[in-house]
Amino acid sequence: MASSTNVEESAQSRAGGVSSPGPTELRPKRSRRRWHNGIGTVPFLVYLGLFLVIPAISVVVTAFQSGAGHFTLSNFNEAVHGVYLKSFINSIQLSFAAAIVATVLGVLASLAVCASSNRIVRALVSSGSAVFANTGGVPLAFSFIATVGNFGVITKLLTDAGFNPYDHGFSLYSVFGLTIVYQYFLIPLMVLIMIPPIEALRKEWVDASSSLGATRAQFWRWVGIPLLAPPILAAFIVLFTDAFAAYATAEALTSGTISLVPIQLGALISGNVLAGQTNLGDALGAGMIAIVLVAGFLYAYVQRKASKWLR
Amino acid sequence: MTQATNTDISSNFRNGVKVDLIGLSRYYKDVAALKSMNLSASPGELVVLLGPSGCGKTTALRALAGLEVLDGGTVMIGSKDVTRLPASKRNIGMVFQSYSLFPNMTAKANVEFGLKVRKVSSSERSKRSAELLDLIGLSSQADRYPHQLSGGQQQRVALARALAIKPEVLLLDEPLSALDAKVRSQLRDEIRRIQLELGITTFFVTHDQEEALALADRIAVMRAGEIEQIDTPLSVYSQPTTEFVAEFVGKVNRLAGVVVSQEKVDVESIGPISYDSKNTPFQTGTKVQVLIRPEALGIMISDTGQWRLVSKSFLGASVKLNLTNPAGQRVIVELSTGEATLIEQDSPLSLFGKSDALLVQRA
Repeated sequence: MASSTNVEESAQSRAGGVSSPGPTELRPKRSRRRWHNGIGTVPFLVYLGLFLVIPAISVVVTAFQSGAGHFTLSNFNEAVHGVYLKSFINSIQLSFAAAIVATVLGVLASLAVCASSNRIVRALVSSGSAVFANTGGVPLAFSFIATVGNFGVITKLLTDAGFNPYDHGFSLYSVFGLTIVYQYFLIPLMVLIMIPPIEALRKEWVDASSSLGATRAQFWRWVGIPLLAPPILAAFIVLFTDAFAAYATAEALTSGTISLVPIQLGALISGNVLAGQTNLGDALGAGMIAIVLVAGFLYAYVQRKASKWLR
Repeated sequence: MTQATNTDISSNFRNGVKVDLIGLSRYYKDVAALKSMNLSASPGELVVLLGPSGCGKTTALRALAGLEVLDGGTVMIGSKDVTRLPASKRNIGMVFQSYSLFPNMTAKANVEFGLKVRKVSSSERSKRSAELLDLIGLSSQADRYPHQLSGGQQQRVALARALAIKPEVLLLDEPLSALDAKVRSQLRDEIRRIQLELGITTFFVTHDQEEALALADRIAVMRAGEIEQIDTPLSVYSQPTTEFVAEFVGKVNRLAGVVVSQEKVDVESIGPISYDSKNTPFQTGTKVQVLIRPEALGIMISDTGQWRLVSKSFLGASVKLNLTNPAGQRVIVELSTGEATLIEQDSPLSLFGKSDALLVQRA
């Protein structure tokens, strides 16, 4: 069929392509339609260019410049030493730990929600998650301070019962404390992302594996988890970057006492710049971009490995 | 190669078992999906559960598989009561309507899944999956993922996967309904060939009467959670015991009549037609309703005929004719294509009974 079409086309082109309306005459129309289809994305691309691509390029370029505009590596040298190195380590540790905990708990919560046959529960969880996933900053910090802060309600109740968690190494104002606070918006975000892929697991797969003699655990090991691995990985990267970039909650909770990259950046933007650190903030920004890119590439690699059955 | 392999495979199955479903009941809130249903299948028999949507056929199949919790009744496989056994312990192979292959596994891995669960060695698994893929004619597609296979190929792999565990019973839940007509008919024949070759006791659920008639050793026609009639395809078609069966399996004309003797009923606008009065004896003069198959009626062109042709539908070897008369009655008659060419739009037509009425019941 394909070959006969080719023969027709070549015969037509030899004859000058004027005998009858053929594929050559249809082709421009089709491509014009495709061009029209793409026009809707232009505002978005312009927006991306103005507020993501150009600033990112500008940050990276400036990071290699001194205050006088000369090429230098001193900004990066500064960014990977002392307090700034510590901020990168803290940020990565915090984001990784927070994302891991939220991924595990979020997947379990999503499974529980999807297993529920109660529509009201499902609707409430979905809409509630959408709200909580976007909650952060001072209100969130305050709610945690009010409950498990030094003088929080729960801390007081526990202290009255003879157990003050702050005497046993717990502190809300630490990387560990932030990991807990971040769960408030990371778990709902995970639930929002994971409900659709979990709902896409077909009942027939569970039934087929049962009839073939598999236990529930074997179903999850060989079918369920491999099928959910790509979306879980994707969600983990989203959570990691979300936690990595979170600023307001950490700042409000710790008043900058914990060194995190966004907090250091915030301080530099506020003007707390020492002599010779003019473009240090750009180097920190470039470092953040690099880490997110590495996470993205890692995701793409693992995703490719985990979902070869989709190709 | 195929011949030798198939002999090896069938030697594993030549032990079809008897299956008994005794008094199965299942209720969803107050609605009965199964009402004390009884059904038995002989070793190696293919029983088709046929009925409209919601009649309980799939519920019965899932109850047999152990995928449905029963409110009452007993499931016996051979001499073993499996009512309380979970699906994973019943050794039943099941093929679902569609999309039941694990999408993250190749055709080969899908076929081997049940063997992997049973901790069968890798070499034995490979040997067996190769035999089964050969049996279904998909050896060359072994390394393909489900989304790279057509619907028909996917269902073949699902069949091979179900057979890989050497099940005592094979269950097929509308396995052909998502396929196009040609593939459906090919795969239907193939399922029957494999089932006969392996001698495995099989239950097949469908709502397609043609599929049921073509496949079954016996057909169980279901309605509202109960079996209306269970018999051979010929008996179900030609001797339905209820109006529902007569209308569900095949086409039927419903006409008014009066019993004129022990064997004859006078059908309005048609004339006397014989019927089997053994099961339903009526007194002469009883007003009855007569159910007649389209092919049981004959047509004559006669000047006094009151019937007229409304439309013709060409079915290949036969033609379906829609007729009407001045009283507004309508009947369908099915004639061979040759006979039907003689019938023209304005011809005055008379009808007569060529064979027995299907069912006669009190009006």
